[in-house]
Amino acid sequence: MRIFTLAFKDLLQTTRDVRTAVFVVVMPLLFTYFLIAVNGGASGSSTDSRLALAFINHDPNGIVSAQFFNLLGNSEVVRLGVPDENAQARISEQVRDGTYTAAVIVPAGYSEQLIAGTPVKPQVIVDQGSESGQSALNAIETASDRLQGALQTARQTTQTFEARQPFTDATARQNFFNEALAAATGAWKTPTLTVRTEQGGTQSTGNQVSPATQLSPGILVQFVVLGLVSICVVFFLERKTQTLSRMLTTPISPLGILLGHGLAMAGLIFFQEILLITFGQIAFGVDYLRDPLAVLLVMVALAVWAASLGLLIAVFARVMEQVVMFSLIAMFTLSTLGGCWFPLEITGPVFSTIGHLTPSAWAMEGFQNVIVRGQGIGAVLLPVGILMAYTVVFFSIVTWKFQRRTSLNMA
Amino acid sequence: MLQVVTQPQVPGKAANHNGPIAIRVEGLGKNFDKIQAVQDVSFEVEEGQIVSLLGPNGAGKTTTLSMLACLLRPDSGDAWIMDYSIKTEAAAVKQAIGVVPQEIALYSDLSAKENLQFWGKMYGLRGPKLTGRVEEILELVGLTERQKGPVAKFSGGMKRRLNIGVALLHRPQVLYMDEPTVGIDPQSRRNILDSVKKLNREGMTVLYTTHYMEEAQELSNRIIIMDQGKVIVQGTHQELVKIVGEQDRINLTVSQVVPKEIAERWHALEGVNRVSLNEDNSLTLLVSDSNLILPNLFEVATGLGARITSVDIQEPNLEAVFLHLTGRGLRDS
Repeated sequence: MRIFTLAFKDLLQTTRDVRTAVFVVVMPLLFTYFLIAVNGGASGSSTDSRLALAFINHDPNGIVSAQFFNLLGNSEVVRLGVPDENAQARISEQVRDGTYTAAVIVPAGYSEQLIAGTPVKPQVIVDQGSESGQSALNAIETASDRLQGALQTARQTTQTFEARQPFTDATARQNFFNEALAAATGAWKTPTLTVRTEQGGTQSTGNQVSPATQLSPGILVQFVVLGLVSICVVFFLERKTQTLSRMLTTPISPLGILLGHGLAMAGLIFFQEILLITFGQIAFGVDYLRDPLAVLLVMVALAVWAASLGLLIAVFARVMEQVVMFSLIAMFTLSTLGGCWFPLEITGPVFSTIGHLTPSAWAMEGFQNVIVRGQGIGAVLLPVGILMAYTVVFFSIVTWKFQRRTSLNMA
Repeated sequence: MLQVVTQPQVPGKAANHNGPIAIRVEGLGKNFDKIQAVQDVSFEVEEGQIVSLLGPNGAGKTTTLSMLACLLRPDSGDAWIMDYSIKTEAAAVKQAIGVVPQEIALYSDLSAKENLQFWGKMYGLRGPKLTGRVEEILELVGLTERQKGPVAKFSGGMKRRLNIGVALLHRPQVLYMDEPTVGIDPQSRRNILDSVKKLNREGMTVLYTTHYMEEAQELSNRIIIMDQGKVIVQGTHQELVKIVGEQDRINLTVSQVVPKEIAERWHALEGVNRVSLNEDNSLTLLVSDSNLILPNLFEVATGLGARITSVDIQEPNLEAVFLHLTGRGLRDS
């Protein structure tokens, strides 16, 4: 109970500090709005967060390639783009630079050969090392498998029909086959069973991420650190004045004091997250509600980790200015390395590897697994677990330092 | 019963008592790195008494009090507050004590009422009991009219009163007060001293640290004088001043001479028991009879070409006791 009393007191003090309104509400909202607007994401064009897939068709009049296009077009994972001739010439480069997650090149004579029963596969260009590349490849393979199934069904149907009633001519046969293929392909629009593959791998993408899906969670993760400043100051001042000493003469334990302050910090950060996620969802159509439970898990883990960071700053700071300075250093370092401002994949493997040593990178990973990659709760468990592991480490250091600072026996 | 302490001190033999013991301290010690802040401190406080820990800054008073409040874990010894050990029963000790820290330990951005409500809850008060107690304390410290105002806008005296009020919220059996009058105006100081006496009349045991001998003399049933982390003597005021016998204390300021030189010459005079040189270059003498010795002091000074610019004669007091035992003045240490 005393822990909640202490947390409530901290929040009461924090709400009376003008810095709270600035760091927790005004600055993150303005940054989110302006950065997304500057990057062209404010018009709502970023509402489709599916992975970009280039579809290059060298079999333009083929019935099978057309059905392949339809199947891919119905995908929840990829959105199709048809590059012009110039872009087609540079398609490998465009996959590398992130314009497209992957590209499918349908060869000439594709439909004719498949109808004739000759195995032929479209060419796929993709970075299989990235999680989004894997997701796109899965979507392509799924569409390809479905197409094969539909072809088989159409062939069987045509042969069965022909056995009972021969076609008048080849055109009639071809028309029947085309209709059967279209019907079989169309059946995949409402499959009786849908299997979604969720991956918890460490490779993140983002190079196809729209400005809003990158910057909305990015600013959120960045500002959880800065949002801690005012409440860190409350704890710091308590430490520097005799209010902490007085508190230690009451029946609350030293551990209870840390938990009380941590609870207040986590509560404040959680409020900030709700604010920014609501803003991102409403103003920019970032699809946080795609899987609310998964997003909630990441939010809670991020808030708890941020609270442990806040305690760390408040316990280590020797003077008031250090509270702000440490917060700013943490914010810029974690934002830059953690991929809050730009996707880590465009930075190269070394930077990306270093980036993934930061908790902020895992918070981004958790959010983007949902809002960019369309994955569910299984895909956020690893990021949430890593954030919680960082929390344990940070809180252990805080407990040790607090014990040293107060010369207390924490037992 | 007077006890002049010589090291090593015998634990549990600090004083003779008639009533039940509220605070029993045995061989308490605390080191900070290589500094021995408190060494083998032992004393007892009867229930309903006011006992002062008197000593200069750095004597170990606050460190002792911090250990008794379970803020610091002692490196040696133990203490029992209302029979609860500070080492093994800290939670019970904390419930039994109220602590008035030396600094203002309040949240300046909260109101007086919000501060009292918060601290009351930290002491475990809830509901109507908390509400009633907060109103009583506001009345007690004279802040009912200002209860909604932020503490930041209070005067120093108001803050001090509220600082004391917080420690009384849960009706503690023992009250620790750590130099509560430092840096405040005489009127507020008077109010605080009167409050301490009133609380004591109502049965509260008070352990009071100060480096003002007047406060210790006025308030205390017993006085424990500390210096350099040790208890050097303890007893009633009357018992303590007997240590210096009938000696008078003379403070002199001289000019046109090296103070050290005149100190040596004065110390050689018959009837001068001790001469100490203070930081401000004044001199303090313990003498058998100030009326007899003063002409001789002037004569020596004149012989050295010195001029005595001020003379202050005091009868035996705690300052003289401290000077007698340590060779230093309380305020000069």
